[in-house]
Amino acid sequence: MSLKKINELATKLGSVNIMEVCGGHTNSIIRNGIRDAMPKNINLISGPGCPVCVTTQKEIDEMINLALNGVPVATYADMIRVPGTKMSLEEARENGADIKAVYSATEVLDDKNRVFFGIGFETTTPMTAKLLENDIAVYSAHKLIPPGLLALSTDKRVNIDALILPGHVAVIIGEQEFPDLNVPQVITGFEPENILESIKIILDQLVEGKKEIVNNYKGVVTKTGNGKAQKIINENFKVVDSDWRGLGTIPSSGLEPKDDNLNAKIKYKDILGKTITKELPGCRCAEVIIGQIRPSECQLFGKVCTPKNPRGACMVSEEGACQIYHANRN
Amino acid sequence: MEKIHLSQGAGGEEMNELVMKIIDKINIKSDWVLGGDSAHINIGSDNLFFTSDSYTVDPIFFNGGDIGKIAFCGTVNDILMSGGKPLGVSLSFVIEEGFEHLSKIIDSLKKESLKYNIPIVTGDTKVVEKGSLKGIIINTSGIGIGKPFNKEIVEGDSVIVSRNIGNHGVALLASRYDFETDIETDSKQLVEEVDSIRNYVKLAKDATRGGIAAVLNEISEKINIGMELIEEKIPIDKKVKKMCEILGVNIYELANEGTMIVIVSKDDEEKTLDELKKFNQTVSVMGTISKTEKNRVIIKTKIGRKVLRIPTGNIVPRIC
Repeated sequence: MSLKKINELATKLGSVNIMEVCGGHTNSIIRNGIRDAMPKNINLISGPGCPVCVTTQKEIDEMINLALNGVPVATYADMIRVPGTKMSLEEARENGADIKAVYSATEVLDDKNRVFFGIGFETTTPMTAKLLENDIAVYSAHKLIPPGLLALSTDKRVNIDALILPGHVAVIIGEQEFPDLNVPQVITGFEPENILESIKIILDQLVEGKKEIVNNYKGVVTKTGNGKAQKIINENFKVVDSDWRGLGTIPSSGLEPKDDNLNAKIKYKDILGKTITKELPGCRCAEVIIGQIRPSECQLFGKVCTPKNPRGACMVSEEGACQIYHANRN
Repeated sequence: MEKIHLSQGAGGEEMNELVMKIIDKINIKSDWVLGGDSAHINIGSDNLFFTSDSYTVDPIFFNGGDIGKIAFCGTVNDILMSGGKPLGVSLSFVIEEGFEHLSKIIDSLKKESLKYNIPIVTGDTKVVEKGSLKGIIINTSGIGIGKPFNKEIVEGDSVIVSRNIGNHGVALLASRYDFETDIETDSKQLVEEVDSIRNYVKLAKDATRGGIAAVLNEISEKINIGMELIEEKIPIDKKVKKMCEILGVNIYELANEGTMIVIVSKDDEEKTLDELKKFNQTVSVMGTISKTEKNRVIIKTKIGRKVLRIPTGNIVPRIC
């Protein structure tokens, strides 16, 4: 039903760029063929909500360097294939570094000597906070969605007419935490019907000239979010400025452990300080992440950069825009 | 050959390439026909089939099965998928010092062997120092006799899956990550299934590592033709689907150990379905062979279309 309505509404609008912020949405959109079903003038753009994609080259290189210097490291399995300047964590492991790929941060709860490379947004942060509570050192690349959105909306390179807001993040932080960005924004779940409904709500708003934040994940997302999760984050982390791949440094958009003794960046300052980072020549992931170019506009795309041999982060993850485009190329 | 990566064993594109490199490097000409789940050679009026497979799985015991069961069923199924009738299986163990579960694994192998009287006829054991492998690795080889499936595949042929998919992968991941579930592996010798449809089969393949995503892409590339699947017709148990969502894994890429893809002509579709229904009610015609989608597997969803990709890398749960 929504699809019919979307087609109708689209005829009343020019070209519309809707960004789905969350990698989970990108996944559902692709899995259900939603992108393919959109009218020609409705562009769904994958945003910076893929944790692997926004983690910077420097952060990855520092973790590789740490592991190669004999410090046992753990991180999410998704992360270990992302290429650093010289190699990926996976290649470092092949060279003898002790790197554990985990499904859940809690798998290293009893591993006091290991450094956990914490990545992701408000959804994965509570688990990392749990590790800090248990005196496990963390290298934090955790980022916060609301300041990220704010930076995105004020970035002159970005041209976005509306946002599909991440449902899982909203469960944690609550409806009230999303900043007003002067475009329609809809908090959305992950079922295809729910996503279509949200696109319809966005187009409705655009037709009527409205710019509201709507919660279309009712019953799951509340006004104030999950207090317990917020508490454990606040108790163990402090807000700091953070670098995002593609977006640069965003004020108050990252988290570091409150306890310096558990902050791997401080604890291993000497090793990390010697890390050499160089941006990969030719890689345009940064522009892809903010929707400035399409993956196929990158010269490396499909030639030297493929899912099997990724050169940039966006080609690694199943949610990465480049990998998705690669699969659907003709 | 350069350094080996973990992803080269995951059943996807990297593994195919590694296998091709090994084959190219060996490259000894013979009368054996290669390329299927087992190799075969003409021996008068019949063909002899030969296959080999090594098994390593984490954890070794999981809902509905263990490494012994899949080691036996997997090799028998590889013979069956090529058209052969299994005659006997070899069994070799590499065991880590201190391993305590061998007896249980042998019981399970014996049970499978007795089921269709396919004997275990030769084998080997090695024990290696603690830490040099994780528990146990099993190799089984099998020989069989019969006629290879070799009917020509044409546009409009039906692509059938013998039962609902993903159960093995989910049972395994659930055990690995300590999720409580009653979902069991589908591990099974497909002896009766294949026998019942032998006359209709143009091509059969069990959807093991890499799941239907790997197998369908492999078929499509091999026969140089495309496929179009209807998502709603791909049978998936509700609980398995839910579990995949919780675990954040792509069900199409999950391994199965007793599920086969069969291609038959449109005319034989009903008969094939009727036969396979006797073994599992969830059998389904999930799509057709299509020339328009050359070498690609397309899935039509309720909403649009998408490409079924050949898996790359290792299967990892998503984190957002």
